[in-house]
Amino acid sequence: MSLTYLICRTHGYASKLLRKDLIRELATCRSLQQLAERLSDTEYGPRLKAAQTILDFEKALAEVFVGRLSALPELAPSKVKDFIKSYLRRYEIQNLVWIARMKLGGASEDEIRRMLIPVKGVSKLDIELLIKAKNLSELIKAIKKSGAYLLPKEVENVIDFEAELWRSYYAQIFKKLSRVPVSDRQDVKNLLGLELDLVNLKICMLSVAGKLDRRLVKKLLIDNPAGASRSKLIRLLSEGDEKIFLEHFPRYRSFLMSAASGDDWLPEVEKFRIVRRFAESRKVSKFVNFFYVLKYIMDSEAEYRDLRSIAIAVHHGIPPESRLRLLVSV
Amino acid sequence: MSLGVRYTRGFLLDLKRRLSFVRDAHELLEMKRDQLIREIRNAIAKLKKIRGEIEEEVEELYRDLALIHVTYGSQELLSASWIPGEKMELEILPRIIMGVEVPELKILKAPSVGENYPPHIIGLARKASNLIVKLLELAELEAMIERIAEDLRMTNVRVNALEKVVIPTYEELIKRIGETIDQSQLEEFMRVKLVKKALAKRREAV
Repeated sequence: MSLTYLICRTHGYASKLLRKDLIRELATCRSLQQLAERLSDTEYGPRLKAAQTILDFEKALAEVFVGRLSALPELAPSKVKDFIKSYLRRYEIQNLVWIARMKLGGASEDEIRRMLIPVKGVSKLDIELLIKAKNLSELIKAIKKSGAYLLPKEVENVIDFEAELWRSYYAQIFKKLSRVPVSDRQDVKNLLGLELDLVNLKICMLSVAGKLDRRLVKKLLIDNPAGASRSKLIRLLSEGDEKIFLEHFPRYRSFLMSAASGDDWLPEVEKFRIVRRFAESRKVSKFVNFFYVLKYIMDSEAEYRDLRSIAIAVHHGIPPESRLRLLVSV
Repeated sequence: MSLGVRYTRGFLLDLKRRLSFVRDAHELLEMKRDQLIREIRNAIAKLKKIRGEIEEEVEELYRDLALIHVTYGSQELLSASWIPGEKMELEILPRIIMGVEVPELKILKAPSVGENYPPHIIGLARKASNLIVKLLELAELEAMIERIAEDLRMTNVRVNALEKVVIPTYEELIKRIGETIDQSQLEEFMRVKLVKKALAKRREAV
C-alpha cells in the first residue's frame, strides 16, 4: 500500500478522536459509571459496559488505544511499516519492564498476563514464552536470544534492564529513521531527540534533587543523536545545581521547573505536553505528510492517557477542579 | 471477707498489725497509681504528637500515590509494588515500667527500598518506607499505653478496694473486738469486785 493511502486513512482515524472540550467535560465526572455513560456513544462505549473496577476500565481504554495503533502498520508501505512497528515497540518495552518487575517479586503467570498491554502486532518477541520464564535472568536470556533488543552481557538489576531496553529501543528507532520519507525525516528526528532530551533531563533533575544515586544516573542516561549528548549531561550534573540545567536548556524551562518542584508526577505530564506541542507546531503545509501519522499516534496516546487519568482521578476522589492539570491534551 | 474472727487480745493485736500492713500497701499502690498516671500522660502527649505527624505524612503519601497512579497508570504502580525491597529486621524487648511489662522495639535494620525501583517511584517508595519506622514507633507507644492503662485500671481497683472495703472492714472489726474485749474486761472487773465484796461480808459475819 502507498504512503498516501496510510496518511489519508490516518486523517480519517484522527477525526474519531475525542474533542478537547469533551475530555474537559469528562474530567468533571463524579463516578466511573458516569464516565462510562458519557463515553457510551464513542468507540469506548461497548468495552466499558462490563467494566466494574478501575483495572477493568484501564484495560478497556488500553484495548481501544492498541486497537487504533495496530491498524497503522497494516496500512503502511513496507519501509514505513518497519519504522512504525519500531516506534510502537515502546509499548512492548513497558510490557517487558512490567514482566521483569513481577518476575522479580515472584508473581504468577496469570497475574502478569492480566497486567500487559496487548501489543502482539508490533512485537518481535514471544510474550507467552517470556511470561513463562522462571526468573529474571531467564527472561533476559530469552530476550537476548530473540535478538529483538541488544542487551549487554551483564544486567545487574531491573533498573539496568529497563535502561538497556530503552537504550536499545532508541538506537533502533534512530537507525530506522532512514525508512521515513526524506521530507519528514528531520522533523521526526527532532521529535525523538526532544523526547529523549526530556527523558535524560528528568533523570538528571532527580539526581540533583538527591532522589537518585549519581552512579545510577550514568547508567540510566541514553545517548541522544538528535539532542544533548550524554557526556554534556554528565558534565552538567557534576556541577550539582539545577540552575545550570535551566541556563543550558532554556527551551525546556517549564519541564525543568516542574522537575525541580519535587512532584515526581509533574515532569511526566509536562514531558508529554512539550512533545505534543512540538508535534502541533510542526503543522505541515501539505495535507499528505508522514508527520500526521506520528501526530495521530501521539494524539491517540494523549487521549488514552487522559481518559485513564480521569478514571483514576475519579477512583481516588481527586476534585474535578484539580484534574485538568493532570491531563496532557487540554 | 472471712477472717475467722476471735474476740481475743492476741487476735486484736494481729488485726492491728495487718491493718498497718494494708495501709502501707494502700499508700504504695497510690504512689504506683500516681506514677502510672504520669507515665500514661507523657506517653499520650508523645502519641498525639507522633500521630499528628504520621497523619500528615500519610496524607502526603496518599496524595503522591494518587498523583503517580493518575500519571503512570495502575500497571506501572502495581508492577513496581512487586519489586522486593530489602527486609527490615527488628527485635522486641520487654521493658518494665512500675512493674508493667511493655514492649520495646529495637530496629536492627531499617527498611530500605533498594535500587530496583524506577526513578519516578523511588521517592514514593522511600516515603512509605520511612513511614513504616514511624508507624512502628506509634505501635510501640500504643501497646505501652494499652498495657499501662490496663495495669492502672487494676491498680485503681485495688486502691479502691483497700480504701473502701478492706481498711474500713479491718477498722470496724478492730473497733468491735476492742469494744467486746473492753466490755468483757469490765464485766470481769465487776465480777471480781462483787466476789471481793461477798468474801468481805462473809469474813465479817465469821
